[in-house]
Amino acid sequence: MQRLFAYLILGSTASAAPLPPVTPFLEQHCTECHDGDVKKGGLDLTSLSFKPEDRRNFDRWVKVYDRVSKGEMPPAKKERPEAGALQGFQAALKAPLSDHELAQQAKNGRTVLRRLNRTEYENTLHDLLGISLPLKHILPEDTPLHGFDTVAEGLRFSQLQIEKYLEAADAALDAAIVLSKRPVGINQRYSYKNEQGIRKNLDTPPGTLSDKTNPKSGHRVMFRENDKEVIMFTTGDYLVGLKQCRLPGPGNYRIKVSGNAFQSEGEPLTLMIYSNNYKQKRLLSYCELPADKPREFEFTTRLDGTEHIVINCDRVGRDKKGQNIYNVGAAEFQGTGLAMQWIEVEGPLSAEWPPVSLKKALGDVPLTELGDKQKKFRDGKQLGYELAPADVKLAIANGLNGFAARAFRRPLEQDEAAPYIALATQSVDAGSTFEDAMRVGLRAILTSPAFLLLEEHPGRLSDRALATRLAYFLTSSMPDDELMKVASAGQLSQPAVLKAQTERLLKGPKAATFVTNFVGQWLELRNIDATTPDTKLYPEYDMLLKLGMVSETEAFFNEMLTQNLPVANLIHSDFAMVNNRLAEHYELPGIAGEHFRRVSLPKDSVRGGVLTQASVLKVTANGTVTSPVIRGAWVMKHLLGQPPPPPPGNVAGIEPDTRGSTTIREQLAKHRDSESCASCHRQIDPPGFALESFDVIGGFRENYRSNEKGANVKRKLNGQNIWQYKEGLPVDASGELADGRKFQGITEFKKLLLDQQDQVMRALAGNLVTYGTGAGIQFADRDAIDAISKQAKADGSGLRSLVHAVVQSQLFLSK
Amino acid sequence: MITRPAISRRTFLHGSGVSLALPFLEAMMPRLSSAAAATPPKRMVFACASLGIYGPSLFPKETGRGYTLTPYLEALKDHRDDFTVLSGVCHPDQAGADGHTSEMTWLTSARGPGMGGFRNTVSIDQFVAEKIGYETRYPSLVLSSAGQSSQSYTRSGVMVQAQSKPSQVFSKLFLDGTPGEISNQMRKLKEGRSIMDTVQAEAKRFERRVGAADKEKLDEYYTSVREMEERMLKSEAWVQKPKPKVDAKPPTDVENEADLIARMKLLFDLIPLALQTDSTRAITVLVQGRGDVPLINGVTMAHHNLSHHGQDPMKIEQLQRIERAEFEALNGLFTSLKAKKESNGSLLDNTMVLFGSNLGNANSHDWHNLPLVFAGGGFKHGQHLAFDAKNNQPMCNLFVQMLQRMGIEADEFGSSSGTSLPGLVV
Repeated sequence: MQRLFAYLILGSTASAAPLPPVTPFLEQHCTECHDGDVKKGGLDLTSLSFKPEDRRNFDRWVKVYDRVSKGEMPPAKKERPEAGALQGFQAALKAPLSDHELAQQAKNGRTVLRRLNRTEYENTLHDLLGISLPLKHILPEDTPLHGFDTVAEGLRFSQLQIEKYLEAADAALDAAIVLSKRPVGINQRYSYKNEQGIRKNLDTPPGTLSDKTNPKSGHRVMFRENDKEVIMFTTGDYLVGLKQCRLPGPGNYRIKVSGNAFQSEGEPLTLMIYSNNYKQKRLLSYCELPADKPREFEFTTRLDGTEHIVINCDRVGRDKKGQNIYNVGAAEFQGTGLAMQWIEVEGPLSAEWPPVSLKKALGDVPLTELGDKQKKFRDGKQLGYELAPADVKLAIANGLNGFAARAFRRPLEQDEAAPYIALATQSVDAGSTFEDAMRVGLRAILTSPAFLLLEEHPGRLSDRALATRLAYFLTSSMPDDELMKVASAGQLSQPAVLKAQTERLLKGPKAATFVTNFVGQWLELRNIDATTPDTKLYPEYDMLLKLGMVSETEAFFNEMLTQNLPVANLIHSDFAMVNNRLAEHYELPGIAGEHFRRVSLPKDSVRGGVLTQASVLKVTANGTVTSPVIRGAWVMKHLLGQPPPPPPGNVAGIEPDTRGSTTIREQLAKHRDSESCASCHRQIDPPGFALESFDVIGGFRENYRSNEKGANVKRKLNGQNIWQYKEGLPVDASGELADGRKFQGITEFKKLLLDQQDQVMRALAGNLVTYGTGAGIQFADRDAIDAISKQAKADGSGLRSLVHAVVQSQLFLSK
Repeated sequence: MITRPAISRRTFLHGSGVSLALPFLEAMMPRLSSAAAATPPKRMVFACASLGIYGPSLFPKETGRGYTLTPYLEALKDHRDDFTVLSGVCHPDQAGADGHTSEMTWLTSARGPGMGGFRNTVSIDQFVAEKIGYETRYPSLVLSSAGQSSQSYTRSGVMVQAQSKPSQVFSKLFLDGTPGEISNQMRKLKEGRSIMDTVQAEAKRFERRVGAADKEKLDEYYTSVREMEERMLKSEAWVQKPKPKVDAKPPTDVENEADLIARMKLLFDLIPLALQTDSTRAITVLVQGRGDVPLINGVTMAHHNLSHHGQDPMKIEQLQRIERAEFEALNGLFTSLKAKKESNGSLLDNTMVLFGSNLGNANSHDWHNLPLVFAGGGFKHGQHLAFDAKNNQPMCNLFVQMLQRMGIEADEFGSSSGTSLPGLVV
């Protein structure tokens, strides 16, 4: 208790720094409202001391600086400060605020000691051990700060975290240490004609009663067969699950199918391929099958070995009249079917056996091959090998020394691995086998601070620390061999070498994880599942659309990154990245196939840029209705880097109403009447108004959808009339920016927004720096962010140039 | 508010090293005979329907005793004198990153969930687990109707993963392992402790390497490792002690996640068993209903969607069906807690149950005026305790009152402004 008091007293008696010379400016322009009497917005500048070491006090002064700098204060109706006075004020306040933070940064670094997040942990273990077992779900969820789960301050330790590290390491080592006999792999082509459920359905005469007392229980045949294929008019899991194929064990598999759409009037079908273990059904891949002409489609995927493979197809089994196959039977059915020629499964694919992971975990230890008759088992599997180290303790020392150096991402200090070796050796002395002893040592290494924490020292990063930072930035994993080599040679901090290595990583296969992890958080795509669109209002929404939405935005960012396209494309682009399903959603004709490709947009298209991408439009809506406030706030925060303040606690949100008698704009208008609301909503709402032309799944709309009032819908869905919803009130997507410029809809809005492309560039630079360095952008970092943006602009404003400018910046090169 | 969490963490750490060791020995003594004579301990249960509860069907119009039962309270009518309906209560400053972020803070009250520099604080159940968790086999039980998400957060703001499989919880509570499994577990725990020793020593070396700048982070690491070691030491003792036997069959899990009510009931069935055997004293249950259509008669739309009913009467009607079923499940919990007798009354008299939501009005994501039903614990119930709808009572005032009822010395928690809810008395 005494300690507590001592702490409190110390905290409260820290003396205030002298006030920067801003008092005359404040007295002339601010204290009329912000004094002890009026205290407008809860701010009394006459009593506000200057204590930069106090976070809250610091943030208050930054807010004063920002609101005056942006011209929001003094408010429009008051006299403007003269340009010179304003500059003087800014300079006087900026210097002490910046200096305080820069001094802190020089002492401790911008970034706090940072631990691996769970995505990085999983990828790192995959690389260290050569395994592909998912591990992420074992660890507690990380807390993102400043929008990203790479930010060190949010990545904390707790007893629970340590407990889960031990558990995850155990699971990883189980997957890595494989001594079983080489599984007899499969490599076989299967015909659906031989699938039990289908066979039985085909072979049972139509009309056979399944329940003798019920004349309506007559058998329906739902398949047709000919010499080369089975035509499926249903893809019910219990019938078409590929039970013929028993997977021999965990590993990577190659799956190949051949099929086409049947009786589809020239329209293609999308085939989805899942794995199912009766607990979880997981989508493995999907492909478009053309009408009438078979297509072969191949992919590889990881399977546990406990599942079976199921194919599904949404748009079969109903004909144009709306009749279901169950009521018609295959012989007479005129609707679309899926023709499947065959499916091939090969796996587990492994070049080496025992897998390379064994050596990566335990070191290069001699193995004794066990004969078939030596029946030794572990976990129900027959062992094929035994570890046979000549000298157990030497093998432990070698194994753990090598592993620790790779796990710590640097050469070891003298005897640094000794404690781990001692731990394992004690275990041997207590009677453990070589393998069990190694596992103890390995688990300790994988729970140690040197593995879990990215070691960085205040000031400029060492080459090795830089290699680690760069690798986690662009590949979400540990540095690869080449990067380690360049860093060890002390060359990485040379700008040209750093640039070449950045290029190499961006061109490599793991750059995809950068796109997914960065874009998924920057644009909040990770929330894509947070809401499910109302099935009545949005009957066209399906899983392929949802998957396509995220893929589109990732593909778009990737296209900008690989082609080094100007950042202004985020606001508006003359192209989109779509596949068949997205093109259908965006009403772009003539796009076949499930793969994403670049498509030029028609001149009058509302699409182009990220704002009009379905993913963004979905994560900013709640499944039933859209709100200009939420979308506007999203644009300010993510695209412009100016998050609006949260709504005041005493104001209730708007009650969504889908009955069709009022629009969100009419409701908002009431909200905006009062001056205190309007001061923020003038800024927040306009982008949201422009986006009102897009519904909760990103479809373009001229009318709101209503479930009560309104006219019948004229359009059709899959050739059928839409009865699920009505055409509600018309959408008004016009608005006025805070500076008075008006727009009629999204296209005009985007044109106005292009004036702010420098700001978009700065915001993106800030997000990249936050993600890549593991620390949010401080007040003192703003000049550095400006410099990065200017550099990128000088290099043509391309996204790839921006990433290079980030990597070469002082912020990235220093702790 | 800014400095307090850091201080209380430190003070706790100073205390923990000592306090964990002593009562631990006591806890190892055969307690059964003496426990029967002594006063039964107090327990707490929190259950949250994270998609909200439709207020007009819950809150009575009248305040005080003698209110008219509303459709939802009708389901609890047999226990009318055992619970209090609370209105005008919430955590302050819950405007967060999105409409549902107040889910993270229902048991913590940390302000501005998910905003810029947000860090969650300890949840009340984990706070209790830290204080008295050593007395039971499990310091707390964290349950969810689906998935791993929970509302329980450690002192460092990390979410505790929930268990959603009743069969696993049951076996963890009541089924002894084979001798082989037990010795294996013992070996793992001993091994674990020696690993903890090693990495702790290695952290010293690491600290030398990184210098003073990051001392705080490394302190956090040390503390976590030390706590893990202590936890394993305690587990070793528990592993060798036979688990309590109960007169109930192991549950069969309901695999379909959309079968919300069946899954909720299975979890609720475990609560009286866990509490009466004193396996734990703090339980949280997150009743998750996110994307799918719950298997309830007459419900055809996804739960989350229905919560954003947009005043559509059809949706409100379906939403009421779901929530009414939730209240029926709650009634089942009250009934079984009441049916179990302890030396000074029923198990319900010794168990505080708080059921409600982190959303006051889910349709607009409003986090004020939370729907809350508070039962048991020996309080004088039977009333609708209504506070100012415009100027809500901090929910943490209730939390402090609950902590004190647990016998924990605390005069503040989270955003509390007092130590009790006016009008709620024992």
